[in-house]
Amino acid sequence: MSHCEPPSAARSVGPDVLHVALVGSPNAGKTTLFNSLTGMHAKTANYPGVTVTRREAIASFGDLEVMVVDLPGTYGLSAISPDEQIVADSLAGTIEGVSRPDALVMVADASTLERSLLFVAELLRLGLPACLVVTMIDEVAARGGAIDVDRLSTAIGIPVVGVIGHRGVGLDAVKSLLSDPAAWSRPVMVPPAEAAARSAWVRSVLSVAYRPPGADNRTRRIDAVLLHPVIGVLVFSVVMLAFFQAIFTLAAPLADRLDSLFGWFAGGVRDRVPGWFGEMLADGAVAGVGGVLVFLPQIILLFLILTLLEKVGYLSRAAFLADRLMGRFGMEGRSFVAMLSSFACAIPGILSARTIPSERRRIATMMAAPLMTCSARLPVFTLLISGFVPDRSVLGPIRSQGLVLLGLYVLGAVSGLAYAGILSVTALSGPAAPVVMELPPYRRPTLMAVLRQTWEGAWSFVRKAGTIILGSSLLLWVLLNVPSSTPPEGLTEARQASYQLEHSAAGTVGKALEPVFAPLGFEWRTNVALIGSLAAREVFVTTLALTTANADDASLPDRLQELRNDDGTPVYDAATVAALLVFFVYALQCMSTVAVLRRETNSWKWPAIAFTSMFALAYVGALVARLVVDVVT
Amino acid sequence: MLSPDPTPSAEVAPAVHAERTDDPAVVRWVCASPSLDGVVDGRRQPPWVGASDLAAVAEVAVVAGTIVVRVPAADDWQQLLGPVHNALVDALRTRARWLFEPSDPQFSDLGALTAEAVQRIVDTAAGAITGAHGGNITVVGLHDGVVTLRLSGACHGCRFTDDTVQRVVEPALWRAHPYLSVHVER
Amino acid sequence: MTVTRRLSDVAVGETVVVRSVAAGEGGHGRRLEDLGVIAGTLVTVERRAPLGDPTIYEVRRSRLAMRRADAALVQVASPDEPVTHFDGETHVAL
Repeated sequence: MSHCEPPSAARSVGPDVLHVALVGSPNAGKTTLFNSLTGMHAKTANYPGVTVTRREAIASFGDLEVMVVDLPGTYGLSAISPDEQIVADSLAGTIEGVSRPDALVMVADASTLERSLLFVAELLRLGLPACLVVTMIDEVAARGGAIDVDRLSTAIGIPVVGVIGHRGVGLDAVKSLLSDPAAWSRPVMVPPAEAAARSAWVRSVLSVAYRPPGADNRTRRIDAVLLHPVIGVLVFSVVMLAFFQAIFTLAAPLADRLDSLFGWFAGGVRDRVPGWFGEMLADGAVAGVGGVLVFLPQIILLFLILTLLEKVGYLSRAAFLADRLMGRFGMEGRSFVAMLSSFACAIPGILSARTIPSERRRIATMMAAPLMTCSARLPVFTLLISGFVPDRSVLGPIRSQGLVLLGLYVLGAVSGLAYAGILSVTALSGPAAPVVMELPPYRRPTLMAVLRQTWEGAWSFVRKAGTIILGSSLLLWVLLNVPSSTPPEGLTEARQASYQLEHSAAGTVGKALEPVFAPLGFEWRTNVALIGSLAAREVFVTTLALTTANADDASLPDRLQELRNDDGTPVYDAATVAALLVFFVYALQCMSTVAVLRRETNSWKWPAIAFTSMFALAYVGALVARLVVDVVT
Repeated sequence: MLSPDPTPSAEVAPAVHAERTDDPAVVRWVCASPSLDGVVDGRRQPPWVGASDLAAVAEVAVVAGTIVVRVPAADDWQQLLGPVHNALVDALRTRARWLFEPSDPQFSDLGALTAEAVQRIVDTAAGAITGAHGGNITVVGLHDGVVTLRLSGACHGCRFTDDTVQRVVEPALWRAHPYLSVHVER
Repeated sequence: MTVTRRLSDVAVGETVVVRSVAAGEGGHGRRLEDLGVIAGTLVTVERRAPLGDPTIYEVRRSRLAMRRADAALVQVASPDEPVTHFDGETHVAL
């Protein structure tokens, strides 16, 4: 039946630092413990070859220097996601360049001990020196339960410490344990491997050391409302709408202020740094960085709200309510959050897809994310709609311009769902992992934890988007200014700039692309602006401003309206504008999104599919839009 | 503080776990189920006496509701731990009489216990189930603490009867009279 | 004789005992066992989502939301009638 393990001493690594891993299920309080043990010294890195992040820090406990590693949360060693595979591989020591842990700190939530000990049993079979930290013991006590930590320690055969994470209770005992893992007691026998036998072992161990807590009435009462088929769905809709609204209205004023700040800063740089270098810094670097950072208020707000919702426990309820709908399109409840985040920016949306264990559904979610109308498209839509859609009242207070904007959002969202659905029956078809979500009790999160996670999210966005956007902005500047040409005499300064643009590398490409985009009604100025949008979508607007610069100080929409082809027809007529709008709904121009897709899927295949298929969709969609508008007007 | 069976479940196999004691030559087995309530402290002769691989076991005793096993030297556990554990689990599965001594107070009512009383326990425990399926479990013998059951009607030859006997009848009997062991007529 | 049925067919509010967990594709069964759905464990069906799927189950004092397809891998049966102990206590049969 089971095997016995002779007691043996822990092996500590000589002059090297001892490697201790924290392992346990999600929601067990592992990260809180990790932060308490290591302070702010954690550094995040990637495991080789995958996108799972690794948090580790070196800390001293007593005389011992220990590298503490926070492994991703998992329910067992038979992995169903890359995160979980990392845990299994780490513990087996099969990750290249990363040593097997020398000791394990298993972390379990006191209120789910009856399940958590199953995982503990599995881990004990690895034969590594191990101790158990039971978290949230206050919750169990508050509900009338009790855990005899010493008796539990004797029963399992390893040191056990009870902690209250957010209050630091028990932390000293854990630190004291970590100062000498070699002295940790070992079980006389490892628990059995087979599921039913393991379950029996857990039952026996708990029978001597545990009185189960009563029901969690607070969670029960709240869920009676939040999971109610009518009220719950209503609350869900309100929460999601409020989330959506907050990101746009609350963050907008701050974003505007940041925008002008960067404009001022760019001007200053241009004045102080001479020549083309100054211009490159101003228009390339500062503008580029500014382009990213202008989104920062939105991104921070996005992560703040998401973190709050997650830590309180509501996100799993939201995923539960949304699962059926998402499932119809080859995704799952957790994808809903990714989709919603993508309305601010696809990058945090794609990153949040990491919580989806099933690879197929995760990829479907990530591929659909860029089709959600991100906020970078908004300047483009705003420009075109305000310039070309007549402001009429359609139904009382509902005006035509708002309706068109809403229509574009709906088009993006519906297309995204359909796209994921199609992928899941074609390229992504096949069996997928089970969808099992744990609904943790409602908890009041600590401010520090919320702020920390918000900061980590925002910073990851800045790192990922920032580098690409900065790089592409600089590249774009080069393309727009090289080769430099001398404009003919007598042109105004604005016209000169336009001339130079026309003869730059980007301008040449723009003209060369005219045959390709002519069916859509785009001419070289639009094409150059489209090239610009590869850096970041909103750059379309600024590039268009440059390519259409002329004598008047007219606003950009007016200038666009006045633009004429050689034969006198307007460049921007209704059909072209419609085509351009639809083109932007679908095209995946954002290079940083492509880069993040590549990182998260660990291959070029998916970003390539996304880029080409969305370009095709954009082209065809734009064509259809042209035809429809031509027929209608 | 702790209830005998805090985790409601319907498991059949014995739930035991092994613990170290202060003496490295002694290992204790705690048994959540079947419960060892009512079993008196003292040495025991487990049914495996005579098995060659377990011959080295020095002593088996019941102490405070747990089973305590001693080997001559701590190192012996390296060989014996697995076999002793497996043998114990088997022995506990049938909750055999080896856990009790004739001098145990529980045996005091042995003489007074009647087959009818035992039948009543069986009927209360399993009557609803067997009746619903059109079968019967009858107490046909009670001798020296061994209850002999006969299965009839739908129960005879039914493959789930063993299940019912193990999970319903035996525990009910043991709660009332811990020293009883059950034998099913074939 | 115990008749087993699929967990996905159990009505809301009922408590059943797990008899077996099928392996399923891609490690489904194993994942369910990791989460505590093991032969002998009691499971209570708490509620279903507004659109019918997934369903929340109470397993080992934790709450799990599971899709029908995965719950269908679990064969369950009604727990036996409670056995009345002679001192009046009622236990669920072992």
